[in-house]
Amino acid sequence: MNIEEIRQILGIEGTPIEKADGIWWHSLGLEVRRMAQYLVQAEARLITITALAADEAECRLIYHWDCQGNLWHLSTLTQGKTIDSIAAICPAADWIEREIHDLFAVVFNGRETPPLVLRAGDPSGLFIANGHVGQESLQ
Amino acid sequence: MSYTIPIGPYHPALEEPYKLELVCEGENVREAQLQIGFNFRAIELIAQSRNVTQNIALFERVCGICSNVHTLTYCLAVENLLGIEPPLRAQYIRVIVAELERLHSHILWAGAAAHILGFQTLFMTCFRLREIVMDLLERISGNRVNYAMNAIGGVNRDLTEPQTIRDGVRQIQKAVEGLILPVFGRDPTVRARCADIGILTRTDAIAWGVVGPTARASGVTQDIRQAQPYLVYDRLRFSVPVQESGDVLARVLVRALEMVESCRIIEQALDQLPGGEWKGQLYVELPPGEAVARIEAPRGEVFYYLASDGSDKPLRVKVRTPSFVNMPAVRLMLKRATLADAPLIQASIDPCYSCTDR
Repeated sequence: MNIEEIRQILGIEGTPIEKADGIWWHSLGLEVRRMAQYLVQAEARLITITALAADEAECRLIYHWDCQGNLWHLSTLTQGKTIDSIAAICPAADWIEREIHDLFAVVFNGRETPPLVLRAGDPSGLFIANGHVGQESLQ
Repeated sequence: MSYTIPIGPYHPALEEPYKLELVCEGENVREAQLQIGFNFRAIELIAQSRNVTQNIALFERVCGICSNVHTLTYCLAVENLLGIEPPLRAQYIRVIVAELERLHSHILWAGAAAHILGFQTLFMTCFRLREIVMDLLERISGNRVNYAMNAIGGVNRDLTEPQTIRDGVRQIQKAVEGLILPVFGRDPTVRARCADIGILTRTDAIAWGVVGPTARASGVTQDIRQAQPYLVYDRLRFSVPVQESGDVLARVLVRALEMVESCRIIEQALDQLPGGEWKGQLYVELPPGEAVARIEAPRGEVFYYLASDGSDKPLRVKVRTPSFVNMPAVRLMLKRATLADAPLIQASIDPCYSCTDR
Protein backbone atom coordinates (compact mmCIF):
# COMPACT_ATOMS: atom_id res chain seq x y z
CA MET A 1 0.00 0.00 0.00
CA ASN A 2 1.54 3.31 -1.07
CA ILE A 3 0.49 6.90 -1.73
CA GLU A 4 -0.09 6.46 -5.47
CA GLU A 5 -2.16 3.32 -4.93
CA ILE A 6 -4.31 5.11 -2.36
CA ARG A 7 -4.69 8.16 -4.62
CA GLN A 8 -5.78 5.97 -7.52
CA ILE A 9 -8.13 3.67 -5.66
CA LEU A 10 -9.76 6.28 -3.44
CA GLY A 11 -9.63 9.01 -6.07
CA ILE A 12 -8.63 11.68 -3.57
CA GLU A 13 -6.83 14.91 -4.29
CA GLY A 14 -4.51 16.93 -2.08
CA THR A 15 -0.88 16.44 -1.23
CA PRO A 16 0.05 13.94 1.45
CA ILE A 17 2.66 14.95 3.99
CA GLU A 18 5.07 12.25 5.17
CA LYS A 19 6.28 12.76 8.72
CA ALA A 20 7.94 10.62 11.38
CA ASP A 21 4.54 9.95 12.93
CA GLY A 22 2.87 8.80 9.72
CA ILE A 23 1.39 10.04 6.47
CA TRP A 24 -1.05 12.94 6.81
CA TRP A 25 -3.49 13.47 3.98
CA HIS A 26 -6.30 16.01 4.06
CA SER A 27 -8.81 15.88 1.24
CA LEU A 28 -12.21 17.50 0.98
CA GLY A 29 -13.20 14.83 -1.51
CA LEU A 30 -12.46 11.86 0.72
CA GLU A 31 -15.28 9.33 0.49
CA VAL A 32 -15.04 7.75 3.91
CA ARG A 33 -17.02 4.59 3.10
CA ARG A 34 -14.83 3.87 0.10
CA MET A 35 -11.78 4.50 2.26
CA ALA A 36 -13.04 2.15 4.97
CA GLN A 37 -13.91 -0.61 2.48
CA TYR A 38 -10.48 -0.47 0.89
CA LEU A 39 -8.50 -0.29 4.13
CA VAL A 40 -10.53 -2.94 5.97
CA GLN A 41 -10.00 -5.27 3.02
CA ALA A 42 -6.27 -4.59 3.30
CA GLU A 43 -6.44 -5.67 6.99
CA ALA A 44 -5.74 -2.13 8.18
CA ARG A 45 -6.88 -1.35 11.73
CA LEU A 46 -8.88 1.75 12.55
CA ILE A 47 -7.10 3.25 15.56
CA THR A 48 -9.55 6.06 16.13
CA ILE A 49 -11.18 9.12 14.59
CA THR A 50 -10.25 12.55 15.91
CA ALA A 51 -12.79 15.34 15.60
CA LEU A 52 -11.79 19.00 15.69
CA ALA A 53 -13.98 22.06 15.37
CA ALA A 54 -12.86 23.43 12.00
CA ASP A 55 -14.96 26.57 12.21
CA GLU A 56 -18.32 27.48 13.70
CA ALA A 57 -20.22 25.24 11.33
CA GLU A 58 -18.07 22.24 10.45
CA CYS A 59 -15.74 19.66 11.95
CA ARG A 60 -12.56 18.14 10.63
CA LEU A 61 -12.45 14.39 11.09
CA ILE A 62 -9.11 12.59 11.01
CA TYR A 63 -9.26 8.83 10.46
CA HIS A 64 -6.16 7.26 11.99
CA TRP A 65 -5.31 3.86 10.47
CA ASP A 66 -2.62 1.33 11.22
CA CYS A 67 -1.66 -0.27 7.92
CA GLN A 68 0.70 -3.14 8.80
CA GLY A 69 2.47 -1.01 11.38
CA ASN A 70 2.48 2.23 9.37
CA LEU A 71 0.28 5.14 10.39
CA TRP A 72 -2.06 6.85 7.92
CA HIS A 73 -4.03 9.92 8.98
CA LEU A 74 -6.70 10.62 6.37
CA SER A 75 -8.86 13.64 7.06
CA THR A 76 -11.81 15.48 5.61
CA LEU A 77 -14.45 18.01 6.61
CA THR A 78 -18.06 17.34 7.49
CA GLN A 79 -20.66 18.89 5.21
CA GLY A 80 -23.52 20.50 7.06
CA LYS A 81 -22.14 18.80 10.17
CA THR A 82 -22.84 15.38 8.65
CA ILE A 83 -20.71 12.60 7.21
CA ASP A 84 -21.25 8.98 6.20
CA SER A 85 -20.89 6.40 8.92
CA ILE A 86 -18.30 3.67 8.43
CA ALA A 87 -19.50 1.56 11.38
CA ALA A 88 -21.26 -0.99 9.15
CA ILE A 89 -18.00 -1.58 7.27
CA CYS A 90 -15.65 -1.23 10.21
CA PRO A 91 -17.23 -2.22 13.55
CA ALA A 92 -14.37 -0.52 15.41
CA ALA A 93 -15.94 2.81 14.41
CA ASP A 94 -19.15 2.16 16.34
CA TRP A 95 -18.23 3.64 19.74
CA ILE A 96 -15.91 6.21 18.16
CA GLU A 97 -18.71 7.70 16.03
CA ARG A 98 -21.11 7.69 18.98
CA GLU A 99 -18.58 9.59 21.09
CA ILE A 100 -17.97 12.14 18.32
CA HIS A 101 -21.72 12.67 18.10
CA ASP A 102 -21.84 13.22 21.88
CA LEU A 103 -18.95 15.69 21.93
CA PHE A 104 -19.13 17.46 18.55
CA ALA A 105 -22.74 16.85 17.44
CA VAL A 106 -21.63 15.37 14.13
CA VAL A 107 -24.42 13.38 12.45
CA PHE A 108 -23.31 10.09 10.93
CA ASN A 109 -25.44 9.08 7.95
CA GLY A 110 -26.70 5.52 7.92
CA ARG A 111 -26.80 4.77 11.60
CA GLU A 112 -28.26 5.75 14.95
CA THR A 113 -25.91 7.26 17.53
CA PRO A 114 -27.25 6.63 21.03
CA PRO A 115 -25.27 8.49 23.71
CA LEU A 116 -22.02 6.83 24.72
CA VAL A 117 -20.30 9.02 27.30
CA LEU A 118 -23.27 11.33 27.85
CA ARG A 119 -26.56 10.22 29.38
CA ALA A 120 -29.82 9.85 27.49
CA GLY A 121 -31.43 13.26 27.11
CA ASP A 122 -28.18 15.25 27.40
CA PRO A 123 -27.67 17.66 24.47
CA SER A 124 -24.93 16.52 22.09
CA GLY A 125 -21.99 18.77 21.21
CA LEU A 126 -20.50 19.14 24.68
CA PHE A 127 -17.05 20.14 23.37
CA ILE A 128 -18.36 22.84 21.04
CA ALA A 129 -20.97 24.34 23.35
CA ASN A 130 -20.39 28.02 24.07
CA GLY A 131 -19.16 28.99 27.49
CA HIS A 132 -17.26 25.84 28.32
CA VAL A 133 -13.84 26.29 29.82
CA GLY A 134 -11.32 25.25 27.21
CA GLN A 135 -13.14 26.75 24.25
CA GLU A 136 -11.42 30.16 24.44
CA SER A 137 -8.95 29.42 21.67
CA LEU A 138 -11.70 28.20 19.38
CA GLN A 139 -13.85 31.31 19.62
CA MET B 1 -38.14 -17.27 27.08
CA SER B 2 -35.44 -14.66 27.56
CA TYR B 3 -34.88 -12.40 30.54
CA THR B 4 -32.54 -9.46 31.16
CA ILE B 5 -30.17 -9.12 34.06
CA PRO B 6 -29.05 -5.53 34.67
CA ILE B 7 -25.75 -5.19 36.54
CA GLY B 8 -24.59 -1.75 37.64
CA PRO B 9 -23.78 1.02 37.06
CA TYR B 10 -23.08 1.01 40.80
CA HIS B 11 -22.89 -2.49 42.17
CA PRO B 12 -20.87 -4.13 44.96
CA ALA B 13 -19.40 -6.56 42.45
CA LEU B 14 -18.07 -3.84 40.14
CA GLU B 15 -14.77 -2.11 40.85
CA GLU B 16 -15.72 0.82 38.65
CA PRO B 17 -19.08 2.19 37.52
CA TYR B 18 -20.49 0.79 34.29
CA LYS B 19 -23.66 -0.97 33.30
CA LEU B 20 -23.92 -4.43 31.82
CA GLU B 21 -27.23 -5.79 30.61
CA LEU B 22 -27.23 -9.50 29.90
CA VAL B 23 -30.08 -10.94 27.89
CA CYS B 24 -30.22 -14.59 28.86
CA GLU B 25 -32.05 -17.70 27.76
CA GLY B 26 -31.90 -20.14 30.62
CA GLU B 27 -28.28 -20.18 31.75
CA ASN B 28 -26.92 -18.88 28.45
CA VAL B 29 -26.19 -15.28 27.48
CA ARG B 30 -27.86 -14.42 24.19
CA GLU B 31 -26.90 -10.74 24.00
CA ALA B 32 -24.93 -8.28 26.09
CA GLN B 33 -25.12 -4.49 26.16
CA LEU B 34 -22.55 -2.30 27.79
CA GLN B 35 -23.09 1.29 28.91
CA ILE B 36 -20.18 3.51 29.83
CA GLY B 37 -19.71 7.19 30.62
CA PHE B 38 -20.33 7.10 34.36
CA ASN B 39 -16.70 8.17 34.90
CA PHE B 40 -16.67 10.78 32.14
CA ARG B 41 -14.59 13.79 33.23
CA ALA B 42 -14.08 15.57 29.86
CA ILE B 43 -10.31 15.43 30.37
CA GLU B 44 -9.71 16.20 26.70
CA LEU B 45 -11.73 19.40 27.04
CA ILE B 46 -10.00 20.40 30.28
CA ALA B 47 -6.64 19.95 28.50
CA GLN B 48 -7.57 22.79 26.16
CA SER B 49 -7.60 25.22 29.09
CA ARG B 50 -4.24 24.22 30.57
CA ASN B 51 -0.77 24.81 29.28
CA VAL B 52 1.48 22.17 27.83
CA THR B 53 3.24 21.41 31.13
CA GLN B 54 0.16 21.52 33.35
CA ASN B 55 -1.41 18.91 31.10
CA ILE B 56 1.16 16.31 32.14
CA ALA B 57 -0.35 16.23 35.63
CA LEU B 58 -3.83 16.16 34.11
CA PHE B 59 -3.16 13.16 31.86
CA GLU B 60 -1.55 11.31 34.76
CA ARG B 61 -5.10 11.16 36.16
CA VAL B 62 -6.66 9.42 33.14
CA CYS B 63 -5.96 6.06 34.76
CA GLY B 64 -5.03 4.97 38.26
CA ILE B 65 -3.16 1.83 37.21
CA CYS B 66 -1.35 2.88 34.05
CA SER B 67 -0.92 6.57 34.88
CA ASN B 68 2.65 6.58 33.55
CA VAL B 69 1.72 5.48 30.02
CA HIS B 70 -0.56 8.47 29.62
CA THR B 71 2.06 11.05 30.57
CA LEU B 72 4.60 9.17 28.48
CA THR B 73 2.44 9.14 25.34
CA TYR B 74 1.46 12.77 25.84
CA CYS B 75 5.12 13.79 26.26
CA LEU B 76 6.09 11.78 23.15
CA ALA B 77 3.38 13.59 21.14
CA VAL B 78 4.62 16.98 22.40
CA GLU B 79 8.22 15.96 21.61
CA ASN B 80 7.16 14.91 18.10
CA LEU B 81 5.60 18.33 17.60
CA LEU B 82 8.65 20.11 19.00
CA GLY B 83 11.00 17.88 16.99
CA ILE B 84 13.10 16.98 20.02
CA GLU B 85 14.37 13.71 21.46
CA PRO B 86 15.03 13.12 25.18
CA PRO B 87 18.58 12.23 26.31
CA LEU B 88 19.42 8.53 26.05
CA ARG B 89 19.51 8.02 29.83
CA ALA B 90 16.02 9.48 30.13
CA GLN B 91 14.76 7.10 27.43
CA TYR B 92 16.11 4.09 29.32
CA ILE B 93 14.58 5.34 32.57
CA ARG B 94 11.24 5.74 30.78
CA VAL B 95 11.46 2.14 29.54
CA ILE B 96 12.26 0.81 33.03
CA VAL B 97 9.34 2.66 34.62
CA ALA B 98 6.99 1.65 31.78
CA GLU B 99 7.90 -2.03 32.18
CA LEU B 100 7.57 -1.87 35.97
CA GLU B 101 4.13 -0.39 35.40
CA ARG B 102 3.30 -3.25 33.02
CA LEU B 103 4.43 -5.72 35.68
CA HIS B 104 2.26 -3.96 38.24
CA SER B 105 -0.77 -3.95 35.96
CA HIS B 106 -0.42 -7.60 34.91
CA ILE B 107 0.22 -8.81 38.46
CA LEU B 108 -2.77 -6.88 39.73
CA TRP B 109 -4.88 -8.38 36.96
CA ALA B 110 -3.57 -11.89 37.64
CA GLY B 111 -4.60 -11.46 41.28
CA ALA B 112 -8.05 -10.21 40.32
CA ALA B 113 -8.46 -13.11 37.88
CA ALA B 114 -7.38 -15.60 40.57
CA HIS B 115 -9.96 -14.06 42.91
CA ILE B 116 -12.73 -14.47 40.32
CA LEU B 117 -11.60 -18.05 39.71
CA GLY B 118 -11.87 -18.68 43.46
CA PHE B 119 -8.13 -19.32 43.74
CA GLN B 120 -7.48 -17.27 46.87
CA THR B 121 -3.92 -18.52 47.46
CA LEU B 122 -2.82 -17.23 44.08
CA PHE B 123 -4.71 -14.01 44.68
CA MET B 124 -2.69 -13.40 47.88
CA THR B 125 0.55 -14.39 46.13
CA CYS B 126 -0.08 -11.88 43.34
CA PHE B 127 -0.91 -9.07 45.72
CA ARG B 128 2.26 -9.75 47.71
CA LEU B 129 4.24 -9.51 44.44
CA ARG B 130 2.39 -6.33 43.56
CA GLU B 131 3.75 -4.77 46.75
CA ILE B 132 7.30 -5.43 45.54
CA VAL B 133 6.65 -3.60 42.27
CA MET B 134 4.96 -0.72 44.05
CA ASP B 135 7.88 -0.46 46.47
CA LEU B 136 10.29 -0.33 43.51
CA LEU B 137 8.28 2.40 41.84
CA GLU B 138 8.22 4.29 45.12
CA ARG B 139 12.00 3.98 45.41
CA ILE B 140 12.37 5.46 41.92
CA SER B 141 9.72 8.14 41.98
CA GLY B 142 8.63 8.68 45.57
CA ASN B 143 5.10 7.64 44.62
CA ARG B 144 3.20 4.36 44.54
CA VAL B 145 0.46 5.30 42.08
CA ASN B 146 1.03 8.52 40.11
CA TYR B 147 4.78 8.47 39.55
CA ALA B 148 5.16 11.92 37.95
CA MET B 149 8.26 10.68 36.13
CA ASN B 150 7.75 12.12 32.66
CA ALA B 151 8.66 15.62 31.60
CA ILE B 152 8.82 17.07 28.13
CA GLY B 153 12.23 16.16 26.76
CA GLY B 154 13.25 13.95 29.67
CA VAL B 155 12.29 12.65 33.09
CA ASN B 156 11.81 14.36 36.45
CA ARG B 157 14.00 12.00 38.50
CA ASP B 158 17.16 10.07 37.92
CA LEU B 159 17.42 6.35 38.61
CA THR B 160 19.87 6.11 41.49
CA GLU B 161 19.44 2.55 42.81
CA PRO B 162 19.80 0.17 39.86
CA GLN B 163 20.79 -2.80 42.02
CA THR B 164 17.65 -2.47 44.15
CA ILE B 165 15.56 -2.53 40.98
CA ARG B 166 17.48 -5.53 39.67
CA ASP B 167 17.03 -7.49 42.93
CA GLY B 168 13.30 -6.75 43.05
CA VAL B 169 12.75 -7.68 39.42
CA ARG B 170 14.63 -10.98 39.87
CA GLN B 171 12.42 -11.78 42.84
CA ILE B 172 9.33 -11.10 40.73
CA GLN B 173 10.60 -13.12 37.77
CA LYS B 174 11.30 -16.08 40.03
CA ALA B 175 7.77 -15.93 41.46
CA VAL B 176 6.14 -15.51 38.05
CA GLU B 177 8.06 -18.43 36.55
CA GLY B 178 7.77 -20.62 39.63
CA LEU B 179 4.20 -19.91 40.70
CA ILE B 180 2.00 -17.84 38.40
CA LEU B 181 2.94 -19.43 35.08
CA PRO B 182 2.64 -23.06 36.28
CA VAL B 183 -0.74 -22.38 37.89
CA PHE B 184 -2.19 -20.53 34.89
CA GLY B 185 -0.55 -22.88 32.41
CA ARG B 186 -1.09 -26.31 33.93
CA ASP B 187 -3.56 -26.25 36.81
CA PRO B 188 -6.63 -28.36 35.82
CA THR B 189 -9.06 -26.10 37.70
CA VAL B 190 -7.81 -22.98 35.91
CA ARG B 191 -7.98 -24.83 32.60
CA ALA B 192 -11.51 -26.02 33.29
CA ARG B 193 -12.65 -22.48 34.11
CA CYS B 194 -10.79 -20.62 31.34
CA ALA B 195 -10.33 -22.85 28.29
CA ASP B 196 -12.79 -22.57 25.38
CA ILE B 197 -14.83 -19.74 26.90
CA GLY B 198 -15.16 -16.12 25.80
CA ILE B 199 -13.66 -16.81 22.38
CA LEU B 200 -12.68 -13.88 20.15
CA THR B 201 -11.55 -14.90 16.68
CA ARG B 202 -8.62 -13.25 14.94
CA THR B 203 -10.96 -11.88 12.24
CA ASP B 204 -13.21 -10.26 14.84
CA ALA B 205 -10.22 -8.93 16.77
CA ILE B 206 -8.98 -7.10 13.67
CA ALA B 207 -12.43 -5.87 12.61
CA TRP B 208 -13.16 -4.47 16.06
CA GLY B 209 -9.71 -2.90 16.33
CA VAL B 210 -8.84 -4.87 19.47
CA VAL B 211 -5.34 -4.25 20.82
CA GLY B 212 -2.76 -5.47 23.31
CA PRO B 213 -2.81 -8.82 25.11
CA THR B 214 -6.49 -9.27 24.19
CA ALA B 215 -5.60 -9.12 20.49
CA ARG B 216 -2.43 -11.18 20.87
CA ALA B 217 -4.46 -13.91 22.56
CA SER B 218 -6.46 -14.10 19.31
CA GLY B 219 -3.43 -14.53 17.07
CA VAL B 220 -2.80 -10.85 16.24
CA THR B 221 0.95 -10.44 16.48
CA GLN B 222 1.28 -6.68 16.75
CA ASP B 223 3.08 -5.13 19.72
CA ILE B 224 3.92 -1.45 19.19
CA ARG B 225 7.24 -1.90 21.01
CA GLN B 226 8.38 -4.08 18.08
CA ALA B 227 6.09 -2.97 15.22
CA GLN B 228 6.99 0.70 15.54
CA PRO B 229 9.68 0.91 18.24
CA TYR B 230 9.82 4.05 20.37
CA LEU B 231 12.30 5.10 23.08
CA VAL B 232 15.05 2.42 23.11
CA TYR B 233 12.93 -0.71 22.59
CA ASP B 234 14.79 -1.45 19.35
CA ARG B 235 17.96 -1.96 21.44
CA LEU B 236 16.34 -4.54 23.71
CA ARG B 237 15.68 -8.21 22.96
CA PHE B 238 12.34 -9.63 23.95
CA SER B 239 9.63 -11.93 22.62
CA VAL B 240 6.02 -11.03 22.00
CA PRO B 241 3.85 -13.84 23.40
CA VAL B 242 1.01 -14.75 21.04
CA GLN B 243 -1.71 -17.38 21.47
CA GLU B 244 -4.10 -18.55 18.79
CA SER B 245 -7.12 -19.90 20.65
CA GLY B 246 -8.70 -16.51 21.52
CA ASP B 247 -10.27 -17.79 24.75
CA VAL B 248 -9.91 -16.60 28.34
CA LEU B 249 -7.05 -19.03 28.94
CA ALA B 250 -5.12 -17.51 26.03
CA ARG B 251 -5.54 -14.02 27.48
CA VAL B 252 -4.39 -15.28 30.90
CA LEU B 253 -1.30 -16.92 29.40
CA VAL B 254 -0.32 -13.96 27.20
CA ARG B 255 -0.25 -11.65 30.21
CA ALA B 256 1.62 -14.15 32.37
CA LEU B 257 4.28 -14.64 29.67
CA GLU B 258 4.52 -10.88 29.14
CA MET B 259 5.50 -10.48 32.79
CA VAL B 260 8.59 -12.60 32.19
CA GLU B 261 9.45 -10.55 29.09
CA SER B 262 9.09 -7.31 31.08
CA CYS B 263 11.57 -8.63 33.63
CA ARG B 264 13.98 -9.42 30.79
CA ILE B 265 13.56 -5.93 29.33
CA ILE B 266 14.21 -4.23 32.68
CA GLU B 267 17.38 -6.29 33.28
CA GLN B 268 18.72 -5.37 29.83
CA ALA B 269 17.81 -1.72 30.26
CA LEU B 270 19.65 -1.64 33.59
CA ASP B 271 22.67 -3.28 31.95
CA GLN B 272 22.70 -0.73 29.12
CA LEU B 273 21.75 2.33 31.20
CA PRO B 274 24.12 5.07 30.06
CA GLY B 275 25.29 8.02 32.12
CA GLY B 276 24.64 11.63 31.24
CA GLU B 277 21.76 14.06 31.15
CA TRP B 278 18.21 12.97 31.95
CA LYS B 279 16.29 16.11 32.86
CA GLY B 280 13.47 17.56 30.81
CA GLN B 281 13.07 21.23 30.07
CA LEU B 282 10.30 23.72 30.58
CA TYR B 283 8.56 24.47 27.31
CA VAL B 284 6.16 27.38 27.50
CA GLU B 285 4.70 27.24 24.00
CA LEU B 286 4.17 24.69 21.28
CA PRO B 287 4.77 25.39 17.62
CA PRO B 288 1.66 25.32 15.43
CA GLY B 289 0.94 21.93 13.93
CA GLU B 290 -0.26 18.46 14.79
CA ALA B 291 1.38 15.23 15.90
CA VAL B 292 0.54 11.80 17.24
CA ALA B 293 2.26 9.28 19.47
CA ARG B 294 1.42 5.74 20.44
CA ILE B 295 2.90 3.23 22.83
CA GLU B 296 2.24 -0.30 24.02
CA ALA B 297 0.55 0.10 27.41
CA PRO B 298 -0.21 -2.91 29.65
CA ARG B 299 -3.71 -3.21 28.14
CA GLY B 300 -2.61 -2.41 24.59
CA GLU B 301 -1.96 0.53 22.32
CA VAL B 302 -2.46 4.02 23.76
CA PHE B 303 -2.77 6.72 21.11
CA TYR B 304 -2.56 10.51 21.57
CA TYR B 305 -3.31 13.18 18.97
CA LEU B 306 -2.14 16.71 19.69
CA ALA B 307 -2.93 19.90 17.75
CA SER B 308 -1.51 23.32 18.49
CA ASP B 309 -2.23 26.80 17.15
CA GLY B 310 1.11 28.10 18.45
CA SER B 311 -0.10 29.20 21.87
CA ASP B 312 0.77 27.70 25.25
CA LYS B 313 -2.46 25.67 25.34
CA PRO B 314 -3.23 22.80 22.98
CA LEU B 315 -6.00 23.30 20.48
CA ARG B 316 -7.03 19.67 20.85
CA VAL B 317 -5.78 16.54 22.55
CA LYS B 318 -7.41 13.25 21.66
CA VAL B 319 -6.81 10.27 23.93
CA ARG B 320 -7.56 6.77 22.62
CA THR B 321 -7.14 4.21 25.37
CA PRO B 322 -6.90 0.43 24.82
CA SER B 323 -9.99 -0.37 26.88
CA PHE B 324 -12.08 1.93 24.65
CA VAL B 325 -11.50 -0.41 21.70
CA ASN B 326 -11.32 -3.68 23.63
CA MET B 327 -14.55 -3.36 25.57
CA PRO B 328 -17.00 -3.44 22.64
CA ALA B 329 -15.57 -6.85 21.73
CA VAL B 330 -16.82 -8.26 25.06
CA ARG B 331 -20.27 -8.49 23.43
CA LEU B 332 -18.86 -11.03 20.99
CA MET B 333 -17.10 -12.97 23.74
CA LEU B 334 -20.24 -13.18 25.88
CA LYS B 335 -22.55 -14.52 23.18
CA ARG B 336 -23.56 -18.08 23.99
CA ALA B 337 -21.48 -18.04 27.19
CA THR B 338 -23.01 -19.32 30.38
CA LEU B 339 -24.07 -16.73 32.91
CA ALA B 340 -21.58 -18.09 35.44
CA ASP B 341 -18.70 -17.39 33.04
CA ALA B 342 -19.74 -13.80 32.29
CA PRO B 343 -17.77 -12.12 35.14
CA LEU B 344 -14.57 -13.92 34.17
CA ILE B 345 -15.02 -13.22 30.45
CA GLN B 346 -15.54 -9.49 30.90
CA ALA B 347 -12.62 -9.36 33.35
CA SER B 348 -10.39 -11.25 30.91
CA ILE B 349 -9.81 -8.14 28.77
CA ASP B 350 -8.58 -6.31 31.91
CA PRO B 351 -11.00 -3.42 31.33
CA CYS B 352 -10.37 0.03 32.74
CA TYR B 353 -13.44 2.25 32.86
CA SER B 354 -11.54 5.24 34.16
CA CYS B 355 -9.41 5.10 30.99
CA THR B 356 -12.37 4.45 28.74
CA ASP B 357 -14.48 7.32 29.99
CA ARG B 358 -11.67 9.81 30.47
